[in-house]
Amino acid sequence: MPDTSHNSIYLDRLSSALVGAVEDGRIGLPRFVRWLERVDGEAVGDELVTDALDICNRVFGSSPTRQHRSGDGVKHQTLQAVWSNGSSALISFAPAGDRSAAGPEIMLLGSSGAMYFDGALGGSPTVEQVGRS
Amino acid sequence: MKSLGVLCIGGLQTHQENHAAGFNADSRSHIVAVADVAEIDDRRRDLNVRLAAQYDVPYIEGIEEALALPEVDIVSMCADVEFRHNVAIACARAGKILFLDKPLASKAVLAESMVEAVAESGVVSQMYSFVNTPWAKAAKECVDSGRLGRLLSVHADILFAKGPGGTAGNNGPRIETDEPEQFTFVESKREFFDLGVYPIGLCLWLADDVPVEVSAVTGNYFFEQHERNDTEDFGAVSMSFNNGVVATAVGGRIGWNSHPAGGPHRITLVGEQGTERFDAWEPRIEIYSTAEPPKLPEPHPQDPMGMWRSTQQAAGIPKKTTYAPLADETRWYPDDIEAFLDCLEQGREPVMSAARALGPSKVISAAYRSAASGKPEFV
Repeated sequence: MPDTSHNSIYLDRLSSALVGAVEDGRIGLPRFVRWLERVDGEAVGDELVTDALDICNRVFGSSPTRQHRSGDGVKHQTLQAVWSNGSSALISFAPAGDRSAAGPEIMLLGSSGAMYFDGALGGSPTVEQVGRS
Repeated sequence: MKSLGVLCIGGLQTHQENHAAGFNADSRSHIVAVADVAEIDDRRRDLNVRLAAQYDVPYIEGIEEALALPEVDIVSMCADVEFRHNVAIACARAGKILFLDKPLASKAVLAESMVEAVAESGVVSQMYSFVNTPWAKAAKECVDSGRLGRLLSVHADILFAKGPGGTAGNNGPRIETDEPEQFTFVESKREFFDLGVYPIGLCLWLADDVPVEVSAVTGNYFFEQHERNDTEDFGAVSMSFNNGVVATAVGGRIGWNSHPAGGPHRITLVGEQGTERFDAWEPRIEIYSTAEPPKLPEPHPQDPMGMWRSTQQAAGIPKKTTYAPLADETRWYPDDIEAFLDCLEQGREPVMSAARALGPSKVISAAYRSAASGKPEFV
């Protein structure tokens, strides 16, 4: 994941890519998002979960009707959310540590297809440029 | 070790296809008969008789008669979910070693009575699971090594990319029942029950505990067949443990075209020192070319979801070609049977004994209650 100053641009690009693919009809009706993000630094703040949830809201076209949070809210946090049409998401944040690059992994399941985003795992240097251009 | 005689309960178009093949391939065991309860229908009887013919052994209807055969040491138990607990209890009381299909029973309370019977009889037992796959063992090694520090969370996804997706017609929420009663259908099954048991079992094994509270959702996201039978094709559960650990498990069936291999099979471990993931399809080669990609053929009328090996072969379902993982997926079933026979040979308790397999059954029952109520529920 790029540094904080480029984070919002990065998330905008990511959000647009996901929503764009959904709107293209490539995966049918979006039904489930698995968002697993590794975070650099000490604390997993609520704003990170909110950012991810905002993107899910764009994907599903509304806000969730049911939410359940777990984790200590500092080192790790998980949110389960359900939307009115039964679509759902699991959003989790955890420390990246020294062994893995920071960034999200996303699995978006649609009624007739799926999208997989491996974030920085596929090549950090390239991903870090997103948001700078 | 002498070769142990295996009684197979249940036949073709159950997991017995794979279990029987595993026992038959290992020199420490051999198939002696196929049996089932007397209450089965003609279709199930025919499928059982065909498995017996495949191994050239007798087919016996009636569990007591089959258990009376002196050459039976092990029972490989794949009775329909609705009969499963009673059959397992009878086998345990007869003193037979048990290799059990998953999950243990249709609901936690029945699984509990089964586990009590197994404990009283003192027989060795194992439920089929993914704990003996190489990627799950690598995750366990990571936890045991302590290299991530104190475990904070475990996330596991097991989704099978089989069946013609994109046919679900109802785009609304699924209305779940808090205590499902019927599980066995030809065209579909309860996928959170049947496949969710894998990631839930992995989470509980890796966390080495049973959660106290769960929040779950089930869905009819992909398949018309599941909608028609009121069986969910998808489920996700968030689990909270007493020691602060959180686990999430996603289980279900997605369309054949929704994944370049058999479906997402992944464990992510989170500790205070960082995060590691273990993926069944990594490491792998990815192949893209001008060669015609494989296509899902017309579904087999008796198995449109591509659940069973025999019907997959009969329908001509091709192997997908984009991912070429270095690990051998076809070893997962035989590896689990081999690990079971290793335990018997070496006098060790199997990792996924009936006692340990009770945890996933408790979670699944609580998860159905949560999906029905829309609120977290205690396990």
